[in-house]
Amino acid sequence: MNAPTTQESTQTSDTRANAQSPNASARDTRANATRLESAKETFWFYKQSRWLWINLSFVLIASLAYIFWEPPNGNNGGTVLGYTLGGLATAAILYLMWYGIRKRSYHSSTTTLQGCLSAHVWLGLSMAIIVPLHAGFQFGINIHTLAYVLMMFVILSGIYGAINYTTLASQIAAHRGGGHAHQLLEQIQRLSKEIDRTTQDHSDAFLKLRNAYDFEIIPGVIRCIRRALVPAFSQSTVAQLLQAVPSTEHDDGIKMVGLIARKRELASRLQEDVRTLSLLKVWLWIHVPVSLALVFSVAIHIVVVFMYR
Amino acid sequence: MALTLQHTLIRRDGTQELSSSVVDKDVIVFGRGSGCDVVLSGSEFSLNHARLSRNGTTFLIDDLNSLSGVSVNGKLVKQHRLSSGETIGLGSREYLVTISGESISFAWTTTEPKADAIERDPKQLAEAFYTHSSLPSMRTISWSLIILTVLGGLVYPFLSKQRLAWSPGELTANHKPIEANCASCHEGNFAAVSDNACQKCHALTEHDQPVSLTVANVGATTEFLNRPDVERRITDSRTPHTKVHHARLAEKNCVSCHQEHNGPHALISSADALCVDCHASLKNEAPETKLLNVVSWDKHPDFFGQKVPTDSARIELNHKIHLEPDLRGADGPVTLTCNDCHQLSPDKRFMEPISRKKHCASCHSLGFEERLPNVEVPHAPPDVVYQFLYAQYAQLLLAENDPVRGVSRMKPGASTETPADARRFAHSEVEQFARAAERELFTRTACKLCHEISPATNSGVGITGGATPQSLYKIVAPEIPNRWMTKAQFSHAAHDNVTCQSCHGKVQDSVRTSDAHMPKLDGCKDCHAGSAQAGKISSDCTMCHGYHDTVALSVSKKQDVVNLISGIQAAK
Repeated sequence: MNAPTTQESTQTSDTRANAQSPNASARDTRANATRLESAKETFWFYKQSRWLWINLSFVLIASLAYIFWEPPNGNNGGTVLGYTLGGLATAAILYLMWYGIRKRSYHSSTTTLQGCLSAHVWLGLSMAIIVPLHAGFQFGINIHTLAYVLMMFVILSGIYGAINYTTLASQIAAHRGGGHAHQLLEQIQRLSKEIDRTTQDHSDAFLKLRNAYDFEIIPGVIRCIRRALVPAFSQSTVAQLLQAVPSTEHDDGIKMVGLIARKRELASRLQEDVRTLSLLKVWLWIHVPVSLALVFSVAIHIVVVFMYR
Repeated sequence: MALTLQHTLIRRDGTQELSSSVVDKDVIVFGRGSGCDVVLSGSEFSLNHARLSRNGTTFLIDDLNSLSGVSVNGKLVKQHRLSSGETIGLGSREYLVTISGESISFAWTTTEPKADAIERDPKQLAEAFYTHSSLPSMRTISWSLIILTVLGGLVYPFLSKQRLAWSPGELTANHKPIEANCASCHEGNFAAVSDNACQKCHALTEHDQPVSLTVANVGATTEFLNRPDVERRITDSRTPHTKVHHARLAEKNCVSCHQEHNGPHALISSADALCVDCHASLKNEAPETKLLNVVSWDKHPDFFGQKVPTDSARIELNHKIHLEPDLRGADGPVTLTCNDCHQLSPDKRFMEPISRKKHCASCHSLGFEERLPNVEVPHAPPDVVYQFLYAQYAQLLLAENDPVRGVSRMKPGASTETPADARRFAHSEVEQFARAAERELFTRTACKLCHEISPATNSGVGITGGATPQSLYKIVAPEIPNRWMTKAQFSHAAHDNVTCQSCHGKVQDSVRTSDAHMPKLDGCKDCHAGSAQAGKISSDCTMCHGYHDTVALSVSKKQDVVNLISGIQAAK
């Protein structure tokens, strides 16, 4: 459940493989980016947008049936069309859930994972329209509408994930610059120690300069997503404080500012990298649990409706 | 001076580690600098932060103009004489002071840092940057949501019987008061609505007994429902096909047609299919029926079958003349419109019956005598009219032969009795005038203008014969039809955006009473369509036809409903 989509894993491990040789050539990075670009193309528009058209037709037919066929008591879940669409939607939800299993079975040869993802995305999107058509747009404060609300959470988080996946995946390679998170941290720690050493036995003015520019890394995914890992600083303050350093310590001051600048750069890279990878994943923390709750709420919906009929 | 530094480190597993060291100097300097006696590492400490000195048994602490200052019990100080029990703060470090004679000790406690970013193994540190380790496990969230959904959506409503959350939609307006009490209709857990549940409140005679399953709810007005004898049912329009209908109904239960939880106005099924599944081949199902087969609105038979409807009223009416401009009215010329005579009933559905007093009298006078310009005969049966005429002429004659003004004044000694022949003469003179006026009214003017008149069978017995005077004429009852298509629900109010002529045709050209200006089906089809059609009104069978007879709720059932609702309110 925690695993990203297979493509993502593949790409990530590609990047990690490159990371093993920290000075991976820029050409490799570009090649990766191109491959990601083409991967993203095919998942939305796989095989001439096959799944887009299939689902668009499904929605169109259902909408036309809804508009032109007037059931005796108005549209609701209990009409012939209501039952048909309800049945289809239930089947679709089960199929959409099956994607969670399918994406793990790497040995399947009958379908490609990308095709399955394309079908998953478009079928999922079509549910946002099919289900209200099933219900005749009857909403209320009840478990039936709860199922719809949960489904919309799943769909919206899915849209967010799919968009992130399309826009961010190609950036993964760029941020890390051939560095694994712990390798980046190693470098940052080395720099921190050097900064400590530089500060040792220097005046309080020197310490003030450091305090204004340096920062402590407080690890956390959310901090990275909020871009709060590397705090802001005032360039003019740093310049002033550098001036205030005793002349004997001036050279050390310039050296330390250089070290901190380097530390900031590495931390920013780490921050962007973690941010990108997290945005590709965090939506799953809504998408997956809510979809499981959705299956149960649909089951309750069906039990209640049919038992009380 | 000997300063004992006692450090307690609380490890992450809760164990404590004690360590102490002694600094023996006259003056002890605390600070970041490596030359200090007590080296403090951290960016809040100054190179030389504070100084501890002794004067006999007095210990002094001095702030050496440090970055974060020196505090005693939380208050910043420049110089302070220490005593036991005080807490000295240098930056983030807090020392508890204990003095005994010439020795002093500083004790402080630290907990092992959780995330000392700089010191920890980078691989371990990097863990915190991976999504899965920073968020609660997806499995935990999933199970929590599932349990919440099942508890809230299924278990709680089941156990607490607060089951509104299961209701798939609003109830109809009439059932709204019992909405919160699911068991009013669903008798038991997960039980569908049985016919029995409906009959707790509803008298279902119109379903049970074919006799009252009539063709249309003619006269289904609130006025009818409010009548005290609502238990009485309309049985006079029973039709042979109702038995067939009932046989079909017996296969179903109430909820097959009356589906609840679909909003406030949707309890009555109006599907054409419910009607045409019998009416499409009604002749096969009930050969004795007079009704024509109806397949759909598009193939709806004409309103009067193949016949041209004729107005059977026994009265002379010429719409053409009445609609000509500038007719002679009581107060000058008038031009009539349809609504001057055809006025909507209070419920705005049909027209009020035509009344002479309201609609004719202002133009059509019933005057009979020039000498009596303001007197009109009553609009009453001919005998009454004749008696009125006789009385009027008798009065007139008396007034003209006034003994005071006249010549035949009574002489003294003469008999007061009118001679019999003179009396007879007076009677016959009055009768002559009255008969003449009667003849004029009934054969030429007022009555004749509208009514069909025939000679009376009696010979016109007069007062002289000793009996009540009777008219020589008889009026045929006009029998003006008030409602035409009695099986249809209709409302003129709903059609007030079209002119009378658009449905009733060219009434202004009609010269015969028998012309019935009833709307034609094709005219209805200009606006009404059987199914959704652009620019037309979607119309099903029930738009014009009632399904059941008027639902007459019995008095006893009314009480049941009242009891039920008050019971629910009391429970609240």
